[in-house]
This record gives sequence, C-alpha cells and structure tokens, in this order.
Amino acid sequence: MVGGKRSRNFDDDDGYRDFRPRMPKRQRIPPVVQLCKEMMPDIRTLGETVKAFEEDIKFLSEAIANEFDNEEYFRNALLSTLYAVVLEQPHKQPAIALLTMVVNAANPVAGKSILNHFFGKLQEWCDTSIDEDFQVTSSETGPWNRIKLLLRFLSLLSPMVQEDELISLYQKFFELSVELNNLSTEKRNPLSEAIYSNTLLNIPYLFFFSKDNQNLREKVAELIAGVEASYVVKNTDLSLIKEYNKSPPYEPRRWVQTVLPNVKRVLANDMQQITELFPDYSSMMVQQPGDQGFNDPLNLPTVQQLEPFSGLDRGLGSIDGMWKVPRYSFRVYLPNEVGEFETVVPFTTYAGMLFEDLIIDIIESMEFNRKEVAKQVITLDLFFKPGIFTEPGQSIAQLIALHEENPIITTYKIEDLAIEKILSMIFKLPNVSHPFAYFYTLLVEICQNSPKAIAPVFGRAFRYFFNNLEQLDLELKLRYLDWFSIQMSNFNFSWKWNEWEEDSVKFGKTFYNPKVTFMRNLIRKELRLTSSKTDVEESLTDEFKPYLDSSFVSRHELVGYYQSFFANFDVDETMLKDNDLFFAQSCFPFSEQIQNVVNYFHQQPLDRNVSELAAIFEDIQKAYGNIIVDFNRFVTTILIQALTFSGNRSLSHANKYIGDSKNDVLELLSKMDVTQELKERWLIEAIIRFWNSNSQNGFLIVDTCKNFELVSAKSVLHFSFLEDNDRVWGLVDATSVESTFRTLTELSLRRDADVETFIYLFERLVDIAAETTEKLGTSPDVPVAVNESSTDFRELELGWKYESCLGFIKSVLRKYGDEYAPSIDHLSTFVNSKVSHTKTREILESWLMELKEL
Amino acid sequence: MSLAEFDEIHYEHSTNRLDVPSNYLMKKARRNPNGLEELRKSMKSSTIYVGNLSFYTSEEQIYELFSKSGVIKRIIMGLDRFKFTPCGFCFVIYNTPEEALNAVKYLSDMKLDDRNISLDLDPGFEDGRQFGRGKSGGQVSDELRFEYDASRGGFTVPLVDRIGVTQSHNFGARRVRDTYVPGQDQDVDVEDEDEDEEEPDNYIPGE
Repeated sequence: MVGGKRSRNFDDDDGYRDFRPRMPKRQRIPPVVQLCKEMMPDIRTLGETVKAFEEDIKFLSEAIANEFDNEEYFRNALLSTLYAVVLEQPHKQPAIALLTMVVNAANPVAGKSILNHFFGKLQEWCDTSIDEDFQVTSSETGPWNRIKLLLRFLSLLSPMVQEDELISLYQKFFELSVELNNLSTEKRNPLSEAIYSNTLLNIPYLFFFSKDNQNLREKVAELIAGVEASYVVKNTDLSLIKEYNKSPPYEPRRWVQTVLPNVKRVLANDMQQITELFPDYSSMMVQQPGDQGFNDPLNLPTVQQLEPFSGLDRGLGSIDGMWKVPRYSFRVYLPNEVGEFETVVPFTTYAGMLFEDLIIDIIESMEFNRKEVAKQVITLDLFFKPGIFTEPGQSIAQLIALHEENPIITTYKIEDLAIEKILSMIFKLPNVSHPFAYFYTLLVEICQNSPKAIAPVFGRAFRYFFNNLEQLDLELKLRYLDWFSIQMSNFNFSWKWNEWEEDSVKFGKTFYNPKVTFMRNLIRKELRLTSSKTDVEESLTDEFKPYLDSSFVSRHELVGYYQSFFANFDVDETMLKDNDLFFAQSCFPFSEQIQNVVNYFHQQPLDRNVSELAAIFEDIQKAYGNIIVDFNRFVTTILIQALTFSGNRSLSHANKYIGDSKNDVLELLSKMDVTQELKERWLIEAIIRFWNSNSQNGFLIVDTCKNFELVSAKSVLHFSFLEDNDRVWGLVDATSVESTFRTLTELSLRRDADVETFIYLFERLVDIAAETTEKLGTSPDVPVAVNESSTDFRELELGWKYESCLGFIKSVLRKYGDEYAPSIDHLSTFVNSKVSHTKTREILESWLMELKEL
Repeated sequence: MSLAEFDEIHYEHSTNRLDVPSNYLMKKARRNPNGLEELRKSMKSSTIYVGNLSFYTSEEQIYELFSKSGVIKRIIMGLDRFKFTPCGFCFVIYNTPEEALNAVKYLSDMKLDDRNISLDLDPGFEDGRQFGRGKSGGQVSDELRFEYDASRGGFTVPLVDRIGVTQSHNFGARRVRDTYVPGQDQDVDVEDEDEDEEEPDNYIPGE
C-alpha cells in the first residue's frame, strides 16, 4: 500500500499522464442515492439562476411527487435538505415554499408530510428553548431564531394550509411575548422583545402567495390590532453598549420599536409595498386545495418555564444572544456622505429591516462556509423583485449622475447593504458572535470575488470610521484597526494615504490624537503582517514615511533608560542596535562577563548550575559595582535581556530559553532584598526596552513570563499604565492595549479568577482621569470637551487623554462586567473619593449602575 | 478503504462545511491502515497544519493572523532538516480543538506575504514532524515543483536537472524523475495537484 504511493506521485507529475478513464472504485451506488446526489444540490441552489427557475420547479416537483412514496432514503434526504435550506438560507424560503406547493398539488400526501415535518421541527425547537442541556454548535443561531424561520416558512405555505391553523400559531406567540413582557413593569424582557419582533416580521410572508385573500387580511388586521393594544415597548438607554462615546453620526434605531410601524406600513395601501418587494411567482403557482392542517396542536412552554431563560444570556445561540441587550440597527453608509440619497434600504422600512434580518441569519447560520456566505449575501437581490437595487457594481459617481437625471430611480446598492450588515456583526457590542477572523475573512472573500465593485465600498467604510474615530468606542477602534490591516495585507497594502495627510501634518507630533494614533498603529500592524517592509513603505506617501519607525519609546528615551543604570559612566549610544544585547557591547567594561551570561543560557539546562551565574555577577559587582547605581536592578535586567536576546530568533525560541531558565532566574531574584512588584516591573521594562523596535514581540514575551509565573498580570497592567510626562502608552499603543485585553481576558476565563487585578485597573484608570481633569482645570459642572480648533497643544493632549481614559474604563466595565459587578459598591466609593470633577463622576457612576443590567 | 462517516453523503446542511479533512488528507488516510483513526483524531485535535507559506514568513506574522481565531498555545515552524531554516510550513497549536476548527474554517486560503496559505486539520504534533521530508531537506512539494518561486527558495530543482545536460535531450521531466527517485521516507507532505480529480469513495449507509 505504501510502496505504490510514491510512484503514483511521480506519474501524476511528469506529464506522461495515462488517459485511461479513472473509474471510481466503489461507485456502484444504488439509484436512489444517485438520484439524491444529483437532485439535492439543485434544491440547495434553487432560484440562484433566475432563468432556470421555472424549469427547476417543474422538474424537481415532478420528481419529488413521483419518488416521495417510494424510498425512505429519498424522503429523509429531501426533508433534511429542505429543512437545511429553510434555516440556513432563508432568502430561498419562497422558492422552497413554491416547490412544496407545486408538489402538494400533484401529491397531497407528500405535501402533508413536508408541512408536518416542518411543524414537527417547530415543536422540537419550542421544547429545546427550555432545555438546560442543549448543546450549542458554532453555527447555532438559537431556538427562537429557528422558530422564527420555521414560522415564516409555514406562513409562506398559507395557500395550502387552513388559515385558522396559521393564525392561531401567531396568536400563541404574541400572547407569549405579551405575558413575558408583563413579568415586570419596568425592566425589559429580552426574550419577549425577540418573540415580538420575530413574529411581527413574519406576518407579511402570510401574503406572499395569498395577497388577495380578504379573509386572511381581516384576521391579520385583527391580530395586529390585538398585539398593538397589549404590548408595551419599554424604554431603555444603556450608554455602555453605545458604539459612539459622544455625538453619534446617526440616530440608532431599536428593533423592537421599529418593527410594528414597518409591518403596518407594508400592509397598508392594499399591500402596495409587498408587491414591490416580493418577486412574483404566481405564474408558476398551482391551485391549492387549501385544506392541509397540522397533525397536532403546538405546545409552547409556559411563561414560568421560560422565565429562567428569558434573559437570553445563557449562550443558547448567536442571534438569540443578540437580544440580550437592546438590539439596534448599526449604520455605516449614511446618505449625506455621498449625496442626498440612501444606498442602503432604510431600516425604517419593512424591506430594510427584513434584509438586515436575512443577511444576519445567513452570516450566522452558515459560518462553517464563508465562501458560500460571501456568495449568497451579495446576490440576495435575485430573490426579490427586480429593480429594488441598482445594477451590481455601480459606482457612487454613476449613482450621483443617475440620481440627478432621475431622482426617483433607485440608489440602493446590494454591496453596501451586505457589507454594512457584516460590519454590524464586527462592530457588535458588548460582544461578537464569532471569532473576528470569520468576519474579516468573509469580507476579504467578498472583495476577492469582485474587487472592482467591492473595494470602493470598503474604502467608503474605512473613511467613515476614520472620520468618526474621535467618537468611536475604544474596542471598536481596535476592531477597525484589525479589519483594516487584514484587508490591506490581502490587497498589497494599497491605500490612498494622501487623503489623510492633513491630519498627520496638523497633529503628527501629538501623542493622544485619535487619528494620528490610529494611523501609527495601523502602519505598525501592517509591518507585523508582512515580511517585506518595502510593500508597506511603497504604499505610503512621504508624509507617512516617518511612521515606519516602529519604536515604542524614542531612541533618546531608550538611551536614557540604559544610562539610568550607571553613575559616572556614559553609555555609548552608537552601539545601541535593534535586536541586540546592548550590555554585551564592547563599550561596557563588563561586556565579557555579560557574554558569559548569554553563554550560560546556551548550555543545556542539565549541564549547568546556577552558582555559575551567581559567580559571574559577583565578579561584575566586585570590579564595577562602583559605576552601577542599583545592582539588583542591573542583574534583573541583564538576566531577562540575555534570555530575550538568546531567544530573539522567534517567539518559540524565547519561550524555550525562558522556560529552561526560569528557575535560575527565580533563584537569583529570590536573593534580592527588593519588593516583588519592583522586580517584576524591572523584568517587564527590560523586555519591552529590548524589543523597543517591535513592542508586539516584547508584550508577547512578557506573556510568556507571565505564563511561567515570573511576572503577575497586575504587574503587566501596572507597567502599561505608568505615566511619563503625561504619556500613558497603555492608552494609545495598540500592542499595549491588546496586551491589556489579552491579560484580562485570560484572567476572566480562569475559574479561580480573583477580581483584584480588575479592580486595580479600574482604580488606576480613574486616577488617571481624575488627575487629567485637575490638570485641565475644567469646572466641575462642565463636561470635558476637546476643542479641535484650539492651538494649545497641551490642552488638546490632555483632552484626548481624558477621552481615551474614559473610553478605556467604558470598555473594561462592559467587557468584564461579570468581574466588576460584585464590587460595584467598592468601585463607587472609590470614584467618589477620588474624582472631584462632578461631570466625570456622574458618568462613571451611571456606568457602574448599568453594570447591573448588562 | 472506506472512511466511514467521512465518506457519508450529508444532507443536514445546505452547503458543504469547510472544517473537514482536505482531499489530500482523505487520500492519504485511504492508503493508511490507521487512516480512519487519524482522521477522527484530527477532528478533535487542537493542532492545524499550515502550508504554502513563504520561507520568509516569520512566527510573529503567523501569530498576528492566527490569533484572530483563537488563543494560540504554540507555533512550530517547519524547518529544513539540514539547514534549520523555515521551509514553508508550520503547525499552530491552539488551546482548544474548537479554535483549531475555527482556524480551518475562517483562515484557509487567506493571504500571508502575498501567498494563499493552505490549512488542514492535523491529528496532533509529534516531535520530528517539524522537519521537511524532501531529499534536499525541505518540503517534497518544492522538489516536485519546476517553476521559479522567489519566496520559496527560487528553483529547488537545479537547472541542470530541469533542462538536462545537453539541450538535445527532452526537457528534463524524466531526468528529474530519475534523479529524485527516492527511497528515504514513505510519507510526504505534498499537496497533489490533481487531487480534485478523484471522486471520494461513497460510503452508503446501511449497505
């Protein structure tokens, strides 16, 4: 078996291919399997080719009607396939419904089986919604999302089902949502909002094939009037989950408030909007007897059973989980950015809301195949009435021209719509449904499929976020940075940097300016994503070339750091090089001994003894102790820098050297009469200064030290939030900010996590904010605001610093709410004692209060 | 041989999943008596194999990209077994098997250093697997490649072997094959060019 393989590899590759037909080995499969293999993919792709749609329906329905009663294998395959399409690609539901009804006309037994298969699934999901042991997979969107989609499909089948059966389903769901809503008079009930919105959103689908059914219209009108009278939408305002810290570029819309007006409007005027939205399948539709019913009545869980689940915070599915906090629609492509028209169907219309709902369902339920998602979301328009969107790939310039010529022509772009919804998933607060990689690569995928049409759409989003950077939430800034850099690295780093030159010219020298900070971090990140620096360099304009210097602190400060070890001795800064051990340079009298330290670490751990190390340092102290200010600090720094230097080839080298030698280091450190905090600070500082040219490496090696328990999480944060001349790197430098979040997230995932580190960070940040307000001298009852037009750079810097600091507090409170929630009183007392600026205190207090609701 | 659940035809999704063993892995498993077990192991392991990397791609770059889909425990660079230099592949070990599957789903075919990287499930890293298994020390796939590829060491096959000593001979394909008829190791890390041509066997439930 093994021997044959090699020769085959060479046969395949040498160009002498034999052209004997390759007969599949065990391909004699039963006809029914063969049939399923050929037919099911056609069902999955039903409607993707508009031209073939009618034929597809005809042939598929004939085959299904004929085969349905014959083989169980066929029935199972068919039902699973239909079910999968209905749940995973809900935009194809009308096509599947049409197919089902054409089958039903030819073979009512098959029709009834399909109908009741779906009804059975609906019942199963209702039962699952109160199942404590429900196992969630990564593509699980949640029981209530599934229920929504199944109800929608059943609604589409309205011509073949008895009306009252369907109406009673709606009634049950509405009643349930009202009862849940009434559990508390003030507090919003997430599950109630989800059921209410989901169910309302499905109503227009009842009329997809039954527009002229007057009877149904009346019953639906009654239904809506009933729910409108009994459902009270509760007000809520959580500032912790707002995407913008101040002056948002648009007024966010809440789902639960927008859905009813949307649905009422779509049903008004003789359902004019429905006619304009849904495609017309009437020519393919066949007369239905309309007498099918469900085998059993639907059993919904009781309110009491549901109450423990009604917070939707148990991680039972991605989309259900989005209702945990008030659900808003997120916008990127605003009308005024391009011209006086919308390019995304507004959320305040039924169509806009439905598109958002569909796209999010597709993204979340097919996360296992991003290529398919990329294809489906961008061709969504095929499943709706032609003419809703402009031609795919129209540029904004073309649209402006078209719009001027004919103001009533549509300006909706399917690309804008799809990408805006994907971005809304990336920029979701308080958390994201999948690892970021999914969304980033999904966007890259879409762009690769048609770069010419998509690249400008991304460009507009990049600009939009850039223009709103000052208001944008800190975590969202990081996500924006990540997405931007990944996109760039997949497309040769080409970006029109000249657009942003003005900001750099104006504020390039500042430390805290949000835009400059962003650009600085972006270029550094790009550099980390490529091994060819020139690719990044060539993309930049001259104004940005200085940003290629990725030093953490300036060279001047770095020299100062090394000088601070010595008295009566000047370091030779010409010998200070990146990625090299400065102390081992010949300009130091003890360079040979330092080389011996390095050599020691290069020996196999079993061949060496820590006394050798101690001896080296004793030598140094004897001979040169007089020029060294603090010998303990010196030893600590040498030890860790020698290890970092030995492992400078890669992270795993560093990992290995530190792991092999951590006991030696610990032993030497234990002999020093210095506080643990100070030692740890020296260690961290030594690493970050060694990797001054690449602080990401530095922080990752600090992580390694943390894993080997050389330094504590608290020390890492302490170092990041040290203040030096009003500069706090932990507030602006992306590698440092990421390190902070990595550290905290890791802590929060530990079972035994104690909250001390979290409290420490909060207090440290509050201190920074309090000091900054004092320096600014803003009067207590006036909110701190940054005056962009001011020329007083110190004031500007302090203002931005204040905002970054508050942004940081907002992010950590939201992200680690579970860790902070038990200590609200303590934190509140702390805020009151430290913050004299009333407005700041009010903000912090209100956030702490909101923690209870998160 | 039949690969049980991996050969089954699935109807529970409306499209195929990306977090399944590649055709290459399936083909390899079919020829291996323990293939099925290995495949099952690779679905549950936290390790993934990353191929088609540039020789110049560093561990830090890999970290920057792969940390987007989970917490990385360890990266093991694939090395030339004579020169100890990167030779275009690596293993990434995540904290959990879910994160490894996520990486395969989300990051396959992404660009790193302008190359589309290939990802595959892996049953788990064992010492020794970090080395290239080609005759020259690098990956076998590079030795089967005749085109020039700057980021993977240029021409791996020496010029003489590519075009023959005298121009009168054929264009080297046979000579190359003769030169490199191996005998060293049985198993190769090479992505076959024509792997898509062969239909996977179909396991029929209940047959």
